[in-house]
Amino acid sequence: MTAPRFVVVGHVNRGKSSVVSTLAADASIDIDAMPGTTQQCHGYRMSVGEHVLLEFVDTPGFERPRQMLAWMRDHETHTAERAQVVWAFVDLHRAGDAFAQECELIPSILEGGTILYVVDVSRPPSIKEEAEMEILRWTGRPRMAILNRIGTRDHSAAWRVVLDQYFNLVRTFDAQRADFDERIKLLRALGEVNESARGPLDRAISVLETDRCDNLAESFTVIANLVVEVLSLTKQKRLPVEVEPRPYREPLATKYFDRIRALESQAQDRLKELFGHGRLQIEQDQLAQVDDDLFNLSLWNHLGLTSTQLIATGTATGAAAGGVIDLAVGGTALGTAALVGAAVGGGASWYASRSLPKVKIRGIPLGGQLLQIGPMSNREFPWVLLDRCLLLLDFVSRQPHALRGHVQLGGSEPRRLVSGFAPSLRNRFERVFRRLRKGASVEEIEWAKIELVELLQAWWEEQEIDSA
Amino acid sequence: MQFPTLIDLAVQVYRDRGIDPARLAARDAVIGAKIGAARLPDDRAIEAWLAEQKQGASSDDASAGERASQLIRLVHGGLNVVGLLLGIATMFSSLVFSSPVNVVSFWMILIGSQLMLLVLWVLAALPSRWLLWVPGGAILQHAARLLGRVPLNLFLFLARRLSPKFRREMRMAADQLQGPTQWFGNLMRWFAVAATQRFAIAFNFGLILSFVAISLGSDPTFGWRSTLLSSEQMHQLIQWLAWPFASLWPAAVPALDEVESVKFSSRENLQIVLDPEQRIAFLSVWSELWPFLFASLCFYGLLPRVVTLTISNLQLRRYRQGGWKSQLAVQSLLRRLRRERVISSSDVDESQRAAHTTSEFEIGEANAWSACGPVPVFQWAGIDWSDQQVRARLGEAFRVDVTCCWKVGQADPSRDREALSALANEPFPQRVVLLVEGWESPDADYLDFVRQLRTAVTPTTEIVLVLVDRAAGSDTDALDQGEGPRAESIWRTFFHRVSDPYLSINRLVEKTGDRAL
Repeated sequence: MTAPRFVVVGHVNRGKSSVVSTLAADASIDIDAMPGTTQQCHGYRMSVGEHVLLEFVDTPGFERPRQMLAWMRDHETHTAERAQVVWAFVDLHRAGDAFAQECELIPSILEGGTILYVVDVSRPPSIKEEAEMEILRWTGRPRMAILNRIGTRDHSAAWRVVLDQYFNLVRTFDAQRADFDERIKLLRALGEVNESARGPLDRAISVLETDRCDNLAESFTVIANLVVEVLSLTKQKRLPVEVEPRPYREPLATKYFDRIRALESQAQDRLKELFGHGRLQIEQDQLAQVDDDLFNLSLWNHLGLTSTQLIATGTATGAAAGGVIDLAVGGTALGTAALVGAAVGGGASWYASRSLPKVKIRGIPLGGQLLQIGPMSNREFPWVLLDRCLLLLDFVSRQPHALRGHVQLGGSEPRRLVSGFAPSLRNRFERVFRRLRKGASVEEIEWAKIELVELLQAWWEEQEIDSA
Repeated sequence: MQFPTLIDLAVQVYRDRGIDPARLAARDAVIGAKIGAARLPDDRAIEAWLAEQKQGASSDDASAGERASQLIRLVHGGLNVVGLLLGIATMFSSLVFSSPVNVVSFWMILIGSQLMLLVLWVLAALPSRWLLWVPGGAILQHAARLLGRVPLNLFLFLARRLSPKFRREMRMAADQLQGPTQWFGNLMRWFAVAATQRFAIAFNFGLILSFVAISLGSDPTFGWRSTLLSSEQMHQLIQWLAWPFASLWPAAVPALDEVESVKFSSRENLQIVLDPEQRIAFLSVWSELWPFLFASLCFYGLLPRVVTLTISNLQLRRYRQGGWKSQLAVQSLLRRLRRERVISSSDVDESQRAAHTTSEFEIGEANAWSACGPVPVFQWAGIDWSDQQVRARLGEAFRVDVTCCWKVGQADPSRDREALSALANEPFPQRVVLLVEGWESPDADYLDFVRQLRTAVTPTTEIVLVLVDRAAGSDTDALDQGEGPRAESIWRTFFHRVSDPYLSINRLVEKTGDRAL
């Protein structure tokens, strides 16, 4: 089964490369507002191992379509032989510079590609584009038009009237904003244009969907590893008894916090890589919180759980722990332990969300002092860390690959995802964090990782169902 | 999964911890496709992956797992030999007596002690929660499990004496294997228990072999003595002890008179009987307990150990099969091997595939209109103004008169040439205006026309390209807020390649409405 080939064509500067970039999930394609960025045809393949699923061909834009169409009309012999006339045009002009772009893009179509004609609906249709559409009709290949929108104005209605005359199917696809679902929708639509491509397209869609699920599962593993590693992180320094420990406190604390930053940065890079956004620089307002320093406590008002949620979660886990004691004494305590546990849990959550861990000095059995910082005692911190990771994941997993540079997600209100967790899910997360705070054993760390992956998976599925 | 494979897996997973995840994903995707991991069960996929890794390392050295396996075989061999020799020595020291052997102490030392160890084994093997409510049970179990660690420590001690590389690898394996829940602890416990049972079997085998050998070579005699037991009680006791094998071997259960006749085994000169016939009769009486002892050695010594070794091996197999899968690292590995990772690739030269950011254009000032005479105007398709409209709008915007107006850029390109020819009939103008839709992108078609226009006028005639931006309602804001100036700067950058000092670009904003096609 050969891979379906889609040739993305259009006038210069209509967003062809953006469409290819988003459809092929390739962020390395050159995209520029300057016309003529693409000078040659380039094939972008999506493959699994040796098997090519789909191929998208990015082409240079039509530059002189009026002249080309005029030549073709002058040389038309019979309606049935229009494709041969197009070939003849290419053969004749291939050596010269006058129609270099047209001679570069037309063979890709005539050699069996399905046409994806990209128009920019922020501009109205022009005579040149009408000429292009007529040329494409002469090729006799199956074709579909894509309404892409680069600017702010919208001429979709005018475009639809024109495009319906020339194309089997017309679809709206904003290459700068299309998420995964919209990509899949467009691929399904392509199957309607070219019957022979439907089978391979269905297979490709299934593989792409599985690949996305796998990427998400891998992301959850990355996040779980990060959270567990950060929460169980400690830094120690041994000093002889006679040495004054004060000068060593700050460097040790710096080392501890730097390590947390480094771990978070590595995890963020991995999340970006997983979704093909390795080169992405997040600088936009919406995600400014993600790029901001992790230890800027004032930022935490915008991330993690709200104070009420944090105290409620602490109260719930404390009550649960107290409840176990009540059960152990056969209920003779009349729920006192649960009440005390709830009060202690809630109070501790409130108190422990106010400060970061400090370097502590401990004695060691054979003499000397041990300076230690960590594990992370701040109750709010794991939620902030988790929120930052999830915000980034939510962003990179949905962002189209055509988006470059400064990205605006819209809306100026800071977002937090973890505060939207169901209380039961929140409590389960808190149980894991609590165990890690206590200084977990190797076995508990492994358990915590697996548990976090499962919880994240459950959250994502819930979110997907809600959005569906 | 076999023990060597398990160790190799642990070592490899530990090594992979430091590798960049993207590299790991790429490596395992290739290996996964090569070995067909999607179709293989978990353990086979891991084995094939390890084999590929070893092949890739192109090293002839045995893997850590193979070497550990060799070491385990060595330890097992050692335990077998030591157990066998110890069994033989014990039996020899027990039977070489001038007087008949006291069956009570013989049984207690050689079989009873083993039964006690067996009880300890059961304690060690039982799940901890079963002993929570037995007083002292937990402590006993802990002690029994500590005892069971002796062979394991022996193994680790030997491992430490080997090469530094092997030592390092074993440490990696231990680090990695200790991760998942109770699995590693269970695996190690059963590994140790199996080793002790192997030793016990060899020991019992040595006992039985030497017991038979001594019986064949020199005629050992057996009796008993006890101040606490009467002959009847002793017979009753023997009957209880012989119950498991009585039905299989009735001769192994001595009768009461036989038990009674071999009482007081410590009586002096029992064997000093000069008459050969008397001596034979004497020996046959005093060897009546031999079958009972032989059967006891087999049933209470050897057989339970065979059972416990079988249980230990079954448990080892159980933990080897499933527990390793609970490790997150192994789960990730299997996912990496099996997933159909979609890879984007292109025929673009890799060196050219650098991140390309959108160009930033410098938005320069619009050209100032100097005073000049009437100008001819070309309006590109899409503008579609009447001559009066052209005159009115250019006059309003730039205070300039229009001599004549031609439409160019129509579907028929020959109309462009006709318009340019018509210009030749006009007096040479100081300035020519070309009106173009502001939302259009500059392309070769415009460039061609401007070049042709230049040849139609003098080299110093000013060609002014006017971008007409038409907008209604909210579009006006978009134009004012950057779209228009940005488009203008793109046109300016594009036409910069013409290097024409008398070519300028200007904007004309018409806030009236969209044109109809």
